[in-house]
Parts: sequence; structure tokens; C-alpha cells
Amino acid sequence: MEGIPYTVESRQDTGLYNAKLGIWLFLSSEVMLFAALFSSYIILRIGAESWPVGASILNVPLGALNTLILISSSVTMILAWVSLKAKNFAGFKKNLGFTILLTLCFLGIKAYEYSAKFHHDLYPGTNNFMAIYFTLTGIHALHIIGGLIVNTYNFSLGSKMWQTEPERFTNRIEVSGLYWHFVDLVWLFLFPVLYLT
Amino acid sequence: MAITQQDFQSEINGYRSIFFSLVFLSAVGVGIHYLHLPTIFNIILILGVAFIQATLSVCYFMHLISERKLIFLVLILTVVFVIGMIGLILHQHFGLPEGGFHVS
Repeated sequence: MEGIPYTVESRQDTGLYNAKLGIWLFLSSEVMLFAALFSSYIILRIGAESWPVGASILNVPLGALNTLILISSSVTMILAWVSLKAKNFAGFKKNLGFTILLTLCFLGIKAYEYSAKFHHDLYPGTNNFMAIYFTLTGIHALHIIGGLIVNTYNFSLGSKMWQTEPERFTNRIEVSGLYWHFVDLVWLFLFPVLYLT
Repeated sequence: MAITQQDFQSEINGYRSIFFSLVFLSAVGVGIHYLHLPTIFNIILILGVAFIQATLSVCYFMHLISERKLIFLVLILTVVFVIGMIGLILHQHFGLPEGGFHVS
């Protein structure tokens, strides 16, 4: 059986290789998911008699640190792809390694925040604010974990593809990067909506 | 598809600029929060900063600024659906008939 077509060369009709169009379509569906969640937040907030200021319950410095961590991980992710374009495999490994480390830092801080909430008897069932906070950040964290699994695979077993099909592997990292930037982008809205307003 | 060392360095410099811009904008957002402005101004300004950050990330990290038109079409359709559906939700919320009430 022939290899999967258009993993490297662009299709004549779309002008893109298949995975790139595929990931953008997937990200569009993810936009719909998070738009629905943000809509829930809007409805809950405008329908509430009173709504707590996020900073009175949530830790703004930790949230800001997590924002800085995710922005940094976005940069290292794209540097990993650029390194592959420059045929610098060691640079790719270094940058993707940093991306994975930063992801683990983000998840560690998120776990600490959650445990602090539970320690103060703040659970999803406590009130609407906590419910939407745990829902939004929990689903976002699941997306982070999914990206972490993909990046770890690309860093370890998946990187063997560089020896046989370097251009296809570069495209794979580009596509993984697009997903990762989207997850970062969602946090760029989550942090101000939940923590700062 | 391989890029030269000069192109590589140029791309790195570009991404570094975007990184510092995003960090600066994050600091601006946190700073606006600590000004303790009236809620509506707080929301508008902070979400405005978030929108600028999102635009930078999408245009440069996701290279939408140099992408094919098909990707724009996919995204425009998505935005239309999102705005339409949020609009429907808000219309339902605010457009109650006389005597109607929300059950919470």
C-alpha cells in the first residue's frame, strides 16, 4: 500500500498539506467548544444577583505566572519547529523539551491552586462562580494534558521519523504547534475573564 | 523547505519580539485590574488587551498572517457560527415575553 498522500506535498485544490487543513478544522471545533463554555459563563454572570470578584477568591500572581509559563511554552514550541526547518535536530529536542517542562510547571501550579481551593472548602458545587471556574480551567487542563501527551510522543518515540521522513516530521511538529498555540490562546482569555474581572 | 541560518535567526528575532509583546500586554492586563476601575470599564479594557494578545498569537505563532485563503474561510465560518449562537443565547436570555421569568 502507498504512503498517505499529501503529508508533505500540498494538494492542488486546497494549496495545503492535509494535516494542516485538518488541524485548522479541528481547532474550529474547539473554538465552538470553548465559545459554548464562555457563553455559559456570560449567562451565569449576567443572571446572578451578585458575582464575586475573581481576585478575591483566586490567586492572581499564580494565574499571571501560569500565563507567563504558557506564553513561554508557545515560543519554545514554535522554536522547535523552526529548528527542524533549519535541519537542527538538537535545537528541536532542546526546545520541545523546554515546552514539556513548562507544561509540567503549568499543571503543577494548577494542581496546587485546586488543592488550595479544596483546602478552603471551595468545590465546584459551592457556588456558580466555582462551578464555572472548575469547568473552564478543568477542561482547559485536559487539553493541556492532551497536548503534553502528543509533545512527549514527538519528543521520544515519534522523533525517529526524523531519520526516515524529515519533512513529514517537520509538518507533524507544525501541526502539533498549532494545537499548542490554540490552547495557550484559550488561557489568554481564561485568565483575565476568571482572575481579573 | 530548509531555511538558511540568516532566515533562522530572523525568525527567532521575530518570535522573541512577539514573546516580549505578549508578556508586556499580560502585565498591562494585570495592571488594569489593580486600578480597580468600574466593572464595565475593567471588563472592556482587560478583554481588549486579551484580544490584542490573541491576535498576535494567531497571526505570528500560528502564522495566520501568511496562510492560505481556505484557512481564513474556515475561521470566518467559525466566527459567524460563534457570534450567531451567542447572539441567540443572549436574545433568549433578554427577550423574555412579559410575565416570563428565569428559573435558576
